[in-house]
Amino acid sequence: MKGNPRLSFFLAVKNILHQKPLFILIVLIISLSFVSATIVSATILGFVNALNNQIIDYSHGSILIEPKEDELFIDDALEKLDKIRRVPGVIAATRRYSLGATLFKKDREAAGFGFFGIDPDDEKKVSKVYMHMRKGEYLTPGDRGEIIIGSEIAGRGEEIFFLEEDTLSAEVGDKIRVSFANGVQKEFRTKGIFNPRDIYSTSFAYITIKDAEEILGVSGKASLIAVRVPKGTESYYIKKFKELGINDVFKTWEDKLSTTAIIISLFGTINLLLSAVGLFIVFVTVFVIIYINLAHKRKQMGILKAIGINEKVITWSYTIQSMIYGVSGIITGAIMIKVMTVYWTVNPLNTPLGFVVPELTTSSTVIVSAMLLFSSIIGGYIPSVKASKEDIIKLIWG
Amino acid sequence: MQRVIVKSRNLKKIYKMGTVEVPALGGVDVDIYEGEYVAIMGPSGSGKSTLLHLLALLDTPTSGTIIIGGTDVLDMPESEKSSFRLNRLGYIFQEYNVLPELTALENTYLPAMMQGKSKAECIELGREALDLVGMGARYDHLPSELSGGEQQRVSIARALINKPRILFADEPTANLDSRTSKTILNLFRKLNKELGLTIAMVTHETEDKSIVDRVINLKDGLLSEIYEEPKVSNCEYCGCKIYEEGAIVRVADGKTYQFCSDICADNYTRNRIGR
Repeated sequence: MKGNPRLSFFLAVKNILHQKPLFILIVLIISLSFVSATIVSATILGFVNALNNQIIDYSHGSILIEPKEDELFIDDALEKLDKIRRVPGVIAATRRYSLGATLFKKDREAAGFGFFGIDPDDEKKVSKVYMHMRKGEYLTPGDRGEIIIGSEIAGRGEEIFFLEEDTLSAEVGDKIRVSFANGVQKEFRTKGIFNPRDIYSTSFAYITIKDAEEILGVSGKASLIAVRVPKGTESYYIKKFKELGINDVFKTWEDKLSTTAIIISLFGTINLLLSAVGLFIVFVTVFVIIYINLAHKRKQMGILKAIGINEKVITWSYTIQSMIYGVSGIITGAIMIKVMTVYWTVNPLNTPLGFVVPELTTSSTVIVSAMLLFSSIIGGYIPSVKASKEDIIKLIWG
Repeated sequence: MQRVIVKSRNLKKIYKMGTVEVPALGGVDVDIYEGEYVAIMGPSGSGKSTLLHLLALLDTPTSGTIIIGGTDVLDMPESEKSSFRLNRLGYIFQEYNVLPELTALENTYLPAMMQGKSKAECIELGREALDLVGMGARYDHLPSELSGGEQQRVSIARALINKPRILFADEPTANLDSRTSKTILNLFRKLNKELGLTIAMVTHETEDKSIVDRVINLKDGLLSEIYEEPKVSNCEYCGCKIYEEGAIVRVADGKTYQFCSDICADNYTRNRIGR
């Protein structure tokens, strides 16, 4: 049996143009199915990326160099920093001292937080905490006896994730007594409170590296060196640093995920489940809509058969029609998603875990598009093949 | 001597409704001659439309043979039947059955397009066919913009575009007013006379007997020598002449009333029976 693509396409287009409101409705349903199937995974991916970026931007940098096992500090930290900074492509590097400390303010106590001694100027090139000062100011290299604390430590009206009772309820200018693990006790003035709205750095406190070295009784060393390199090139630079003779322990930001890794893994599972369910719903919805739409055109199929239009032309006509529905729905859905992502880039979603920009991956878009197109084609093909093989009399008069 | 163009032998059709078998045709032998204009007549349920559907290859008989132009058409696979309908036969429905999304011209040239003719050829042939049925001024009108008679003429043009040898028409004037019906029947006569087109038409209008060459009478699914005049009465509401087999029937207070249309029946029920 010979087909006639020109006639099939002609009938498909004429049918669609004749029922513009129905066409718009079906395209809208398919496009919304596209949006609903992609937006969940895009948002979850946005969350995952936001968490990853927070680790890099506010906590660890891209690569973290730690002392060898059984050693407290990295020796010759300044010399190593120098070598690292000279490697082409390295954005910045800074050294930090990590101190075990408990903070007191009057009757309040805060423990279990990250406490670091930093070089404020170098730190600004690696960490973006300085951009999120809620109150007061960031540290300067000459500061002594000054401390800046994260909002989870400060509490007192700050937007926090944990309990207010566990904070110091501190304001800028308040005196905070710090008891260090080595037994040293020292009083600091609160110079600033920061809140980058990530789950780690809001629980950090920083003092200057000079204060830290005085408390620890060391000089020119580091508890860790944080390095910033372009995302995805970490392994390359670790290899380069090792070639330079730096033989301390190297870790990437991914190695430091810990809690975040659990959240990300959880998100991954949720994403997989929702995507699978979403795709199934999309498949069924689109299939049913197109199937019902074509089921109403049985009489027309009968008339076409009666006047000598063959089965192949009829089947192709309605399959092409369904393809047009599917492709139009996918394009409209993609435009909707694009507009939404552009909007979210400018106005990220404000979530308790920070600002999130939903991110669409090519693979998820391709999978959802393919699924929608497949369900549209199948939804058009099955009823038209079924109907085109039925008796003319049954098709026209039921 | 005239050549037989359509021949059926012992043509039977039994419809199955669940487990019940309903015989529609009980073994019909029909010969239609080339260039003949025949009417298939008979009371309601006599099998006229069934016979026409079978002869026009719209339906398959339970048994029997149909030979059209020397070809045993029942031996053909569906694809060949489709091609046969396209190239050799024309069919006109009672309900016009033109496609609502296509203009008069597009509806008309659809079969030509199926034959693979170019767009220019399709348009030319479509216009010729529409001109022939007096629709020259309505090429670009959609069916929704045409009257019943005009839609039927488009359907006739569509049936004629591929220059069929036989035209089948199933009560083509049943839904039309008497003036339009007359125009359509005159058009059939003209096509029959001028183009030599063989026409087989199902009708229940007694006056159509005078236009056609021959009448094939059916009764209870079999050929009948005696033509039974359809019973005529008057609409209970407006008084117009109606054939009992097509009348709208309403029963009230144990009495049966016949009407020409649902509107008359409803009006009568409201005004008289409802009181």
